Amino acid sequence: MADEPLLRVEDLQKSFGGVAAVDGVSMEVRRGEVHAVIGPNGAGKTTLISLLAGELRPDRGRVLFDGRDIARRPAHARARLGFARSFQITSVVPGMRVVDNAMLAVLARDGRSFRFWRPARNDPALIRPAMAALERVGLAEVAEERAGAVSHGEHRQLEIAMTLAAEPELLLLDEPMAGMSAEESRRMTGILEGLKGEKTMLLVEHDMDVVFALADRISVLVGGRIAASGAPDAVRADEAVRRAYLGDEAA
Amino acid sequence: MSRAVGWALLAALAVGPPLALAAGQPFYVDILTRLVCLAAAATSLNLILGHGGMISFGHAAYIGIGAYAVGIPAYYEIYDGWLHILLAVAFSALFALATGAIALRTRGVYFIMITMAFAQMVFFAVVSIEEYGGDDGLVIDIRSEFPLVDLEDSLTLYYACFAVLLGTLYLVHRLVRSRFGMVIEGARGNERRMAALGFAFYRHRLAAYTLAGALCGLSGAMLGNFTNFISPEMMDWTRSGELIFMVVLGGTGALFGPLMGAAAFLLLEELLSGWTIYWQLPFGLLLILVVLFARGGLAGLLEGRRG
Ligand SMILES: Nc1ncnc2c1ncn2[C@@H]1O[C@H](COP(=O)(O)OP(=O)(O)OP(=O)(O)O)[C@@H](O)[C@H]1O
Ligand SMILES: [Mg+2]
Repeated sequence: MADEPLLRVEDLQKSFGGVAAVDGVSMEVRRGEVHAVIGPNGAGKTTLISLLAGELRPDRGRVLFDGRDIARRPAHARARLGFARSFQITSVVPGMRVVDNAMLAVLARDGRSFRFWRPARNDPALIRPAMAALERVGLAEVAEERAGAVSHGEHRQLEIAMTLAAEPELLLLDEPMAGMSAEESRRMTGILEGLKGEKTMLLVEHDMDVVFALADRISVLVGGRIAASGAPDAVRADEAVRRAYLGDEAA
Repeated sequence: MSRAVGWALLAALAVGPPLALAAGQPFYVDILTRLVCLAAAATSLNLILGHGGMISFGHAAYIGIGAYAVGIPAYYEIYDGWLHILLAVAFSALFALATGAIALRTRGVYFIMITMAFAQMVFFAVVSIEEYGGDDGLVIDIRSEFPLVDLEDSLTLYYACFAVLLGTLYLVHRLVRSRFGMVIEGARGNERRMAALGFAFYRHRLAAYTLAGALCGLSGAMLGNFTNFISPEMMDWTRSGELIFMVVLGGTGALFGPLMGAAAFLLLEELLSGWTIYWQLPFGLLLILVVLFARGGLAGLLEGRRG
């Protein structure tokens, strides 16, 4: 089914203690597109990503991946379907080396983790793709360092490298540029641009330059609801969006 | 550096006992036999505690299960050593699998408490069985019998225990470097990320927990053979605490850490108990100091790492 979207979300709802963080969201992510989700702080963007990645269970609603409802499957099962998420707040294994972190992502994809005997750290099937992912984001130099010991910007790059090393079908990127220097951010934009068309991406990002450079479509999340959705130009022109979100920048 | 000290320690253990006998000090063979058995048990604990971050406070249960797997058959005059080992490993693995399946659904303090509770269940179960001596324990009149190997000979028994230690060290060494080992180490470091990557690491943890239990059961069988007398006291919760002490004192996650920790433990026990009957008190203080100021334990200190 070529026109079935890769991901379809129907009436997704999640409340924390009576406050709806995601409040009846319906949206589609088409195969191969970069779908940006923008919105003010606290709009529910991270919550939405966590619901899609399976880290949170929705109170209501459906998440259809390739037409199958996966709203109740755990995170690890979704990762094996081809989901990969990056965290807004860096989440790596600090005690292991940078390259080990990337190798774990490769191993997760490979699936054969019940191997008890052969040393993993010089297994070319793990190292090669891991190093390739690190090189792609410019981290090859610090591959041997402990992940907990590298700089903040490098943490962010590792976060993305792990997401890439998993070779996912669908990337759920939660503010990948947050905390990066201008140069690192440009590099990351380039990387994501290179993946455009190859991977499907749901991109949460505050940097409007990045969003308008990458997105095929944009959804605007305000107060847990989709306020507008469409092509970048249409969203930029949308009155409600300008008032609710782009307001001060665009006026 | 810690590797070098570990190897030196192993070398000393390899040649020490015959030298002690030659010097007319058979007493030291006994001390070293106990040391290698406890070091093997602590090494198995390190697999889950140091590498997997699973703080089991019930590991001595496997020492007990292993020891009773020798003692109970011996009570019925069944002395076949291979059978003893099979029973020790199988029952330990089963117990670890069944209790781990439940305990590993909890985290933090709950995990510590529940592993301790399961171990206490075994403790009280054994206490209540009058047939096998209950509280008073059971004397093993004849040690496990193997073809060509006579465990009644103290030196032979020592080398059998030493072989178990070497085997345990090698197995743990291989396991933690394997793909499987990477997963349990990753899950210790960041569960959330590991789940997001696609690891259902509960299964890996359960496998590690089961393996560690089985390995400890084996060292328990050796310890039972050595002491010639087994009692529920072997699996008292304080024994589990001592195993944790050895792992933490030696350095969690370092291959030779538990061996160093066990050696230091027995040495301290010897020194302090000669000095005061309240020797557990300075022991506890020492452990607090290690946790506060030398989190890598002895192995960490040897590497020049701190905190
Ligand atoms: N685990 C939680 N428990 C309670 N409330 C939560 C939780 N997670 C999020 N919230 C609340 O839900 C709302 C949406 O939060 P969320 O993190 O999804 O927003 P966001 O759009 O990602 O914001 P930001 O741009 O700051 O990252 C906020 O009001 C937040 O306080
Ligand atoms: Mg957020």
